[in-house]
Amino acid sequence: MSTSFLRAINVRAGIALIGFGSILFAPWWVPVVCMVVLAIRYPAWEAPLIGLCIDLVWLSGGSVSVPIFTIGAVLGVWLLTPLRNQLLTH
Amino acid sequence: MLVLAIDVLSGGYVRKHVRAGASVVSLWGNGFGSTVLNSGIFSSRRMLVDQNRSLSEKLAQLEEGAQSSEALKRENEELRALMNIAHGTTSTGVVSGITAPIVSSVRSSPYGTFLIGAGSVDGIATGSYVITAGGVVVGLVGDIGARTSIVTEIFAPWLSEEGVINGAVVVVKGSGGGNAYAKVPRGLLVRVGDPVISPRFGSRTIGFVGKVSSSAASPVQDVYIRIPVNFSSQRYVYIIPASN
Repeated sequence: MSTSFLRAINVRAGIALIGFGSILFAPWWVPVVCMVVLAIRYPAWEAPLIGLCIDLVWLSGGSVSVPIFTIGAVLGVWLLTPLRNQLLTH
Repeated sequence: MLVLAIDVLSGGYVRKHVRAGASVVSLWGNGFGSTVLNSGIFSSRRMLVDQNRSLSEKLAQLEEGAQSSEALKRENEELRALMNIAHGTTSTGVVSGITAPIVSSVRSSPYGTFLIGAGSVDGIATGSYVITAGGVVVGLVGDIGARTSIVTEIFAPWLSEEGVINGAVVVVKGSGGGNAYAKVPRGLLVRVGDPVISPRFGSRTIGFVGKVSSSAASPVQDVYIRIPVNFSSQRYVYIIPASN
């Protein structure tokens, strides 16, 4: 495996770990930033998973209980696919 | 999405277990962080000496403040008993409540929620009021697990609540973090420190006026409301049934 590929994997894993860890301990915008970075740079399944964890932990089942972060992450990864294919794929 | 569908169909089975695990991880993380910070690993001797001196002075000030606070608290309890709006007390007698620890960060939730370490095993029901030691209602219990429940702050972002300030009914809009704001008519006299009462919560206080802002050209004045405690440092809350 090439060094750049390993470096890319490490960066992606690092951002994902920060995203998951910050769900409980950091301000809410930290995992959101991680989700956005992952969705922009990679076709990352970690982004919807972070959004899912945010909604499962923090969303209360009240009158308005739309899982915004899960839906937003899925849409973000899906809608950014053309951008990734056009600009970031070498 | 499949996980969410399973969670909805099972009545919240998945999220209850996720929150139970999250509360444990949160407690471990906070305990580890406190241990590392208090171990002195990152402190030099000189910094510790300065810190010691500063803390001693602060302790003396706090002791003095605690004594005057105790006197005010006694007076407040006597006045509340007279007005019969003391938390945990109704016309039929004292209502039992539950003290619950806050087991998550209050800053991490984008929905204005936090977790408490009490659930159905402790007799908590959905819709119970969450109040501070001073009797201020700060939230409502939402989903309940066996030993962990989620609380939605009254002043959560995008939520609004009806409140009464000096006899005038206003709509209080939450900003998160224990802060809210309302627009009141210019003719209404509102001062910093005025309590905001909510009819929905049995005429209990939900906050205090923190700042009033108005301009001569505007028919309304902006009232900024806050709860009288620092939510980030709050460790326990009191849960009472909603019927009281």
